[in-house]
Amino acid sequence: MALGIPTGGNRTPIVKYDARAGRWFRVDGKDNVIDVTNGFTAIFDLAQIDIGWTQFVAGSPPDVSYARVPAAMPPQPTLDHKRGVRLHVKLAKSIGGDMRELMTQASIVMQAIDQLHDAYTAAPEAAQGKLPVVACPATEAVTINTGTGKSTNYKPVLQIVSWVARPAELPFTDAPVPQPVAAVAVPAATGSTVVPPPASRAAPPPAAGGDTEF
Amino acid sequence: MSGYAQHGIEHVSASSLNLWASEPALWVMERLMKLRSLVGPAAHVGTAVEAGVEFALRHPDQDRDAALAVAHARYDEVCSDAAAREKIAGMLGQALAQLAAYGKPDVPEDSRQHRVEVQLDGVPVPCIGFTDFVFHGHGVIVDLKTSSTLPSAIKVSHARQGAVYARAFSNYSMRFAYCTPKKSAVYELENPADHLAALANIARRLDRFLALSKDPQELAAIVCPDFDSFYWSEPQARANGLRIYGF
Repeated sequence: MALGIPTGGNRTPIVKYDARAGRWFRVDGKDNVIDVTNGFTAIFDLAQIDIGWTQFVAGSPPDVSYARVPAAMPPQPTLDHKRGVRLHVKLAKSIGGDMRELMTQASIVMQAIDQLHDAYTAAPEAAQGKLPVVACPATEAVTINTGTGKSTNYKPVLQIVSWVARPAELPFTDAPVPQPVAAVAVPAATGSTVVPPPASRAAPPPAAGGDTEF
Repeated sequence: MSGYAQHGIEHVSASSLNLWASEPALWVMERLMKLRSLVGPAAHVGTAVEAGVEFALRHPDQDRDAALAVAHARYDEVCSDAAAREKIAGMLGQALAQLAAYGKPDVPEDSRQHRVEVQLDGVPVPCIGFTDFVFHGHGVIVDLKTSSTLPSAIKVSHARQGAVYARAFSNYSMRFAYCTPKKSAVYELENPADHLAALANIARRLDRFLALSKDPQELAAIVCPDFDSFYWSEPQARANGLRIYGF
């Protein structure tokens, strides 16, 4: 690393919630996705929750631009970037027991996390530096009209069941730095400056002395 | 072979390229199929006002009524729309209020307008144009634009046109005099190099489009008319467009 070139390293493993199925999954590899819905419980690091934008591109790591709450939502890098929320959780031992990244772009999941965050910030334990142990005992079916039909998704019901001291697996980390958004290019100005007519040119003064040289 | 050569096009102009950029379907119909549209009263008003202004500037000893008579005579030669004709006097007055102080324009010996010709980057044919008024003594070119409303800035299509003149008369100030029957303003062109580059870009795209086929019908099959555009307001143009494009 003397050259300072990033050489990969370990990626944070992820846990994800499939809103269409209403189920939690621990992703341990491309072909190793484990359903951890039953008994899902985790410590949610709601003190370090990031909001921002992610663009998923096939064959490439996601392109992200996030800011840490309470910072404002950063500007959308491109129209292809979708709104998202991410945070780290530590799974209960029964479903793995390790630290995972939870990221979602599903509106109803972001709503559930937002409501959970409200409950967190209102609790006195948060001010003491504790983190909530969160369970998902149920889901709520949410049916929306898509214009071409109806679609049902399942909003997770997230409940704080207890509080714990911050575990070593969820250390404080540096807040992400949102991507700078390039200034919007605009066509060259055409000109809106009103110009007065040119000043009249006075006739040249007559030559002094009357002598004319040729 | 370039697209221009394929269609026997020996030069382009800013107005032609602006039309191609705005309404390619009308461009194909007019320039390739030779179904030219009639000019509406608004354009005839512009020509008439320009004739009146030119007369007044070149004959400062004559009164405004003489200039108006010239403008009306020019209009009456080609158009009978009375409502449009009524705008001429106001526009002429506004134009002269702006331009009288410029003095007498310079004209070529054999013409009333300066023909300019510039080469656009990457374009195999020259771009030509004709200036309205050139004032060598002031180092100023003025193009007169009549309009129903006064713009707050030079229009982009006009900026491209002015960029051609500015290139031909380097170091001259390129100005546009916009005149309505009640208001007027003279604006100075900014960033002419950028607008000329845009015109060259448009011309290169047209070249590539023309290179797609020798057959105008085949090229017409690629583009779509927008009949909401003012470009199609003339009834005969719309009828021709319907016939060519089928909708």
